[in-house]
Amino acid sequence: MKKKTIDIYDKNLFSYDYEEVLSVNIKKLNKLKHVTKINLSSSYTSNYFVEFLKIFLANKDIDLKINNQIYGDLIFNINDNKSKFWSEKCDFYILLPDSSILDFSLRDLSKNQIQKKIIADGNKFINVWKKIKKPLIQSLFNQASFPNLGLNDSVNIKGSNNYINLLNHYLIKNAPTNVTLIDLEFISKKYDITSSFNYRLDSLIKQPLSMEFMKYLANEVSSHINGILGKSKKVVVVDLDNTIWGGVVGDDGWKNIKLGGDTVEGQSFVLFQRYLKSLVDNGILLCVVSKNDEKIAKEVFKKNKNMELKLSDVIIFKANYLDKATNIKTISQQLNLNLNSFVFIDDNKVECELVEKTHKEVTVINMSKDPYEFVQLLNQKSLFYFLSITNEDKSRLQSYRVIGQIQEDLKKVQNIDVFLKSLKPQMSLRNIDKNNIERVLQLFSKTNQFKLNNNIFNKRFLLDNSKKFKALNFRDKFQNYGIISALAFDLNIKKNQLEILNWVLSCRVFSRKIEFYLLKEIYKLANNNNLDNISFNFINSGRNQYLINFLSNFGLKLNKNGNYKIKIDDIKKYG
Amino acid sequence: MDNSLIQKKIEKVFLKIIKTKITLNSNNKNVKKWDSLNHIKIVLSIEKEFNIKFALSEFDEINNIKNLKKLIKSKIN
Repeated sequence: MKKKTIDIYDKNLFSYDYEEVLSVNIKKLNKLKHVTKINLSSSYTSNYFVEFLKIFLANKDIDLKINNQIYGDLIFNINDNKSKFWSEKCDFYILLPDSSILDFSLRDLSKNQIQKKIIADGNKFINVWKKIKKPLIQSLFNQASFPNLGLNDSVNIKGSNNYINLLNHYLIKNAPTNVTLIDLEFISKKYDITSSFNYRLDSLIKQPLSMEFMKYLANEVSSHINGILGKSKKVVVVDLDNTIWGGVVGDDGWKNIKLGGDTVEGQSFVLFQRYLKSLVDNGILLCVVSKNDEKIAKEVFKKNKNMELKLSDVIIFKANYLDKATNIKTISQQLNLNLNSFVFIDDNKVECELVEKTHKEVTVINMSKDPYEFVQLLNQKSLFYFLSITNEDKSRLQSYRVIGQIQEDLKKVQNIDVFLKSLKPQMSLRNIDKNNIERVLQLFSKTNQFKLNNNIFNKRFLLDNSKKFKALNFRDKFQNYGIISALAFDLNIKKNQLEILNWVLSCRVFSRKIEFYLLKEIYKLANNNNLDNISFNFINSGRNQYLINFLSNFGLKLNKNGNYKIKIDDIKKYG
Repeated sequence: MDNSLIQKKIEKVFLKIIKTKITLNSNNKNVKKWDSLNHIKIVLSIEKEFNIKFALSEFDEINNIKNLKKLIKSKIN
């Protein structure tokens, strides 16, 4: 069954059938459903937004359950502790306020009073954020329905639109890490669509933004949810000829390809390369798959001065005449990364179709349009999610290069343990502190394959409960990998067991047997506290197969409650 | 645009939005899925289909197919 994809540019807004998308994408693919529960409150009609959001999430294999959808009385609801917005359990909160809830009587106020009013309005939300531990997504305020101060409204301190800009800025400045703010103006520019007040729909259905805008807003929110769930893209595989430069290097030679300001097309390719380079700088792994002679293809990177991308930006370079689907599969094995974190970009329709057919999980983008559109084509897909750039992100590139080498060497060696030892591994288990907290948060949210469950923690919780967390730093003779594993646990004296609340390990260090080291540490932790049992709070996410294999190979068995449990005496048997 | 073509286009929109085959006698009381939420979708889609625009006051008048047809005709001719 072909995966049903949704074209966000479809002019017909209501041609999607939620149930159909969901059934084709999830049920028929026989995947494990990822159900996400959301509490939503808005100051306007959000039914259409929710409908679009369901569609876009279904398209990402996420089934959305809206616990409750409250609109009209946003401020009242979020401040009322008894409201359903607070009482129902959920995975995400969404707040959609609009500028109609703001009071713009600014004429008689001094500059100072206006500043105070901004802080008071902003604090209504900031106080709400303080109560929330789960991720919250909130849109910033849209432009006012009319300008208080005519032509100068957005630049005069007493103008309503200026007030909104300052308030939005105040919210941005004070947002904690679990709050994601969405800038409506940014969406407007990104999709070339007006975010202006829609008088018609506001009169008809109390929705101040156009239907088209609601669609793009829902698309952005769905990408954020996808990102927070750790499902955003990590690898970009690009073709070379007519994708990152114009022309065919095998025919034209490295000097004569279209790249740089001399030709109209050449300039567009430079811009596209700069965009790819910025992705690399943010920790995205760039790979090349091209039907070319490797020497000739690499010559462009080495000799053409207009190349923005350097060979050092490319993690794996595959220039050969194998089919691209096979090459992509090999890359995914070499990097230990699941195919659903891959994006494939090629100008050739046939190649794109082949990859799409062979690997349904890969997002395929066919750059068949004019090269000036390439940046927009990739950007508008909203595939990448950058929470914060940690030092580990910066060193990731190097470690993936090392992985490739180690995988090659592993094939040759007889005794794996001896080989691994020869890499001189050093591990140190640390407590959570200011220096590693961002990385630990990121590990919990980004990791998929080695993760007990989808529980994520926020910064405040980590700081308040730092004794319940451990982080593992790893280095070998090649490099320092930084924090690559994190553990959340609870010493349950009553039940006489050590409860592992969550455990994540970066896939960069799979096959280095670090999980064995950590299991030993877990054992020690239980032993030192005189606890006889260890339980792992496990939930099958459909993506954590690696962890299942590890735990069951180790003799741990799933009990009735879906947890893996073991007596610590038994663990000794395994050494 | 002749009568039957208008009817066909209207039917197409209703089929797409609420998966219901409508007739000339259909209205928002005897068609179950023609509720207020779908109403906006239907009217906006009709506007796109015929490249016309309804006034705010006309949104409420469009509560049966006969009226809808009459309004469309007055706008495209």
